[in-house]
Amino acid sequence: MAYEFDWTVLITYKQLLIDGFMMTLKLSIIGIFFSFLIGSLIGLLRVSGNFFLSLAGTYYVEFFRNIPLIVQMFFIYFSFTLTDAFPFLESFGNSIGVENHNEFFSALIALITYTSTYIAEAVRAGIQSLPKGQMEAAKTIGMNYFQSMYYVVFPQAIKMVWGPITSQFLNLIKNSSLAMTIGVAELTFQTQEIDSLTFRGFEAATAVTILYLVLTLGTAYFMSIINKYALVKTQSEVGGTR
Amino acid sequence: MSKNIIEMKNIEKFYDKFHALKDINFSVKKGEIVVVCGPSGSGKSTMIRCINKLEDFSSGTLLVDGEDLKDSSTNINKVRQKTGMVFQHFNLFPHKTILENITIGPIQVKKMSKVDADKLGMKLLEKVKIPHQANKYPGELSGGQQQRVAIARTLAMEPDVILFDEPTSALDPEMINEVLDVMKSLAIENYTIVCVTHEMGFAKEVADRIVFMADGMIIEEDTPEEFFTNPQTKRAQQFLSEIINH
Amino acid sequence: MNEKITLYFAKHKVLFILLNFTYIIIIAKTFQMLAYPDADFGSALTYDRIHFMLFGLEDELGGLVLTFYLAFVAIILSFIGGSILGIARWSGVKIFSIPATMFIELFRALPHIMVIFWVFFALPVFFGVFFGIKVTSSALTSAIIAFTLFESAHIAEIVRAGLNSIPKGQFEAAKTLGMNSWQVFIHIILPQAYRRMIPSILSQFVSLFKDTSLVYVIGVVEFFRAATIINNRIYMSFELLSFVAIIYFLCAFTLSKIAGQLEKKVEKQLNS
Repeated sequence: MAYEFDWTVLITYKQLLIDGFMMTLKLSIIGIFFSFLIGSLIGLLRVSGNFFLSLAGTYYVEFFRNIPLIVQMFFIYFSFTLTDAFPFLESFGNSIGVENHNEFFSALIALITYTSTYIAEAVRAGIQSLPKGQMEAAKTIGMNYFQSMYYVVFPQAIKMVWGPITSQFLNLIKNSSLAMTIGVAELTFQTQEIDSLTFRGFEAATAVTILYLVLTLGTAYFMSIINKYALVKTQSEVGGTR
Repeated sequence: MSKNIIEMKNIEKFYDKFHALKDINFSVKKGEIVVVCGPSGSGKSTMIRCINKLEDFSSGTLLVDGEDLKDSSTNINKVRQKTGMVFQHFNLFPHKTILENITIGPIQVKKMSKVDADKLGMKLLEKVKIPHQANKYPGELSGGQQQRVAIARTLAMEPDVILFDEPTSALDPEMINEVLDVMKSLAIENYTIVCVTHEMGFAKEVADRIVFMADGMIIEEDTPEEFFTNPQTKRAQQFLSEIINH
Repeated sequence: MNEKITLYFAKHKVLFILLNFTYIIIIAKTFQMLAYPDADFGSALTYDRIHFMLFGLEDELGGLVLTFYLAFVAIILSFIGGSILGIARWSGVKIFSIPATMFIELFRALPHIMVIFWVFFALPVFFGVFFGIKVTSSALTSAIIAFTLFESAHIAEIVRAGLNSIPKGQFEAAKTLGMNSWQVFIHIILPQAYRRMIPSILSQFVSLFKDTSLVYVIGVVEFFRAATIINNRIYMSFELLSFVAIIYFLCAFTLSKIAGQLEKKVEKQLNS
């Protein structure tokens, strides 16, 4: 009995795939944005030189990094009803076309906390890899801590760790698949869905794999565009005779 | 009598157990050119880095233009605008152009307009003799050129005193003179300068006073003539003989 | 001020640990009182339940023990697989490097949970179709295979990076001594490369340890699944999942600290 491939199911059930893709997209975009924001903040805390701020940052990173993502998602989803505690989430969810608010936001929050720890470590590494003289020079011309960070240190640090940060964003996109375990109808969920409806799991999985590749390659490309046009240049990129 | 722009009294500094600065008493008058020299590890860099608070000191008083650095109400950023520093490794901002390196201080800290800052920047670049490099990046310049940009960057903030921390020690020999020439021109223009250096020729030519340090203490303070021809202490004599034989 | 505090705590390590301990307990208790005031850890975490979560059922491998078992087996298999793939890709020999690259890129791009599903549902089908063999695999075996597949891909990249980090001068020096390529590779390059890879491989192991929670989706009764099974009966997720989170934290944190110590030892060796 040969397995007959039936690729037409993908067309019949294309709406499921589209819905799943959109859901993954929503999780990814919002997740990437906030994990970058929060991660950078925590990273800055860690290098701030203030003992207690740095300790707080360390607590955050160690706590949310060592607990598996799926455990975090389950914990938030099953222990709390987010829309009761934070009613604005319901209207926000509606505005982006999400119906199962509790599931979506539980997964989203866990994704953000988990990924932000890796971003924080990358930002920390980037800042610490800069020569101390940069900060000193900025101080010498009278800049305060925030100005030094904003104009001199942070731009250079981000540029240096843009590669690792891109990896973490790609990881977030892949990790969004865990949301299916608490009922979010994202892309991986749809594989199982189509399979249970048509027994054509292989075709579904192929389609979903391609869609994930599109998402990850697209993100990597987008990040390299940002690198080229928005980030500061390094010595090697500037060229010149030296 | 010119006011003391820098006044250090009984400064002590410890790095954990290591006694880096021992009872430093050092003052600088407006318009003075002071060269600080001594063997490595003598604490010269540490001392001048205390002046703009890149290093903290354990005890003593440090007044810069009358402002007490230990006083928590002192705005250290404002004090830092009065002191400029030129580093051994230049520390230019590699992600900004030469002109931007010079103008970022005036624009962001002194709130100067970009137009005025650019004018000021170009004027200073001409003063250090590299106006054509304005739109290049630091990585494209030689060490000597970078250090001259660093000096221009300091001048842009119109400091009361310029601190030099071994400005030529990281330069290839053929580039040392171009930087020293700029420093000499500053001396003629009556800037107040405190310079840590090994360039004794420069010291002889330009310094009003030489401060010799070793092991965290100020061993001797002379005019250049006295220091080079008739050093008082053994340590200074030993140091000079080693330099001459180099 | 900050320097003094940092120095003080660096010297008085025990005091530092106590400080952290106190902070953590305060933060945890505050969180619990604000978020879930009716928490009842006592009735949720009975001896039987804890035993089930840590050890699984009687005469069966389960719970936290199974988590460790799965992680160890997977890391060993993926280390072997990843080494082969990594060397194949690094070698540049097209017959090896092209399939290796395809495998590595495919399994790095796929979400882990998808691979786990895939292996569990698709493997028996594949074997049935292409080889005519009826294969039934247990969930655990599928899990091990799935982990080996994607972890090998990650380790392959670590191996490749490690090999690339060896300066060219090493090859050249060895060759001038008259060694052939094979000898250079085995005696000079590989040992150095593997020493450099140790930190990355250790952190990959910690990652793998955390990922074992994913096998929940195919029903393997490791630590996480065990907890959810209990939760489905008694519906006390705050207490149970807090317990799970704390245990995972302690294990992963300890593992990464041990990895850090090993890394320091290796650094000393490399630089001596």
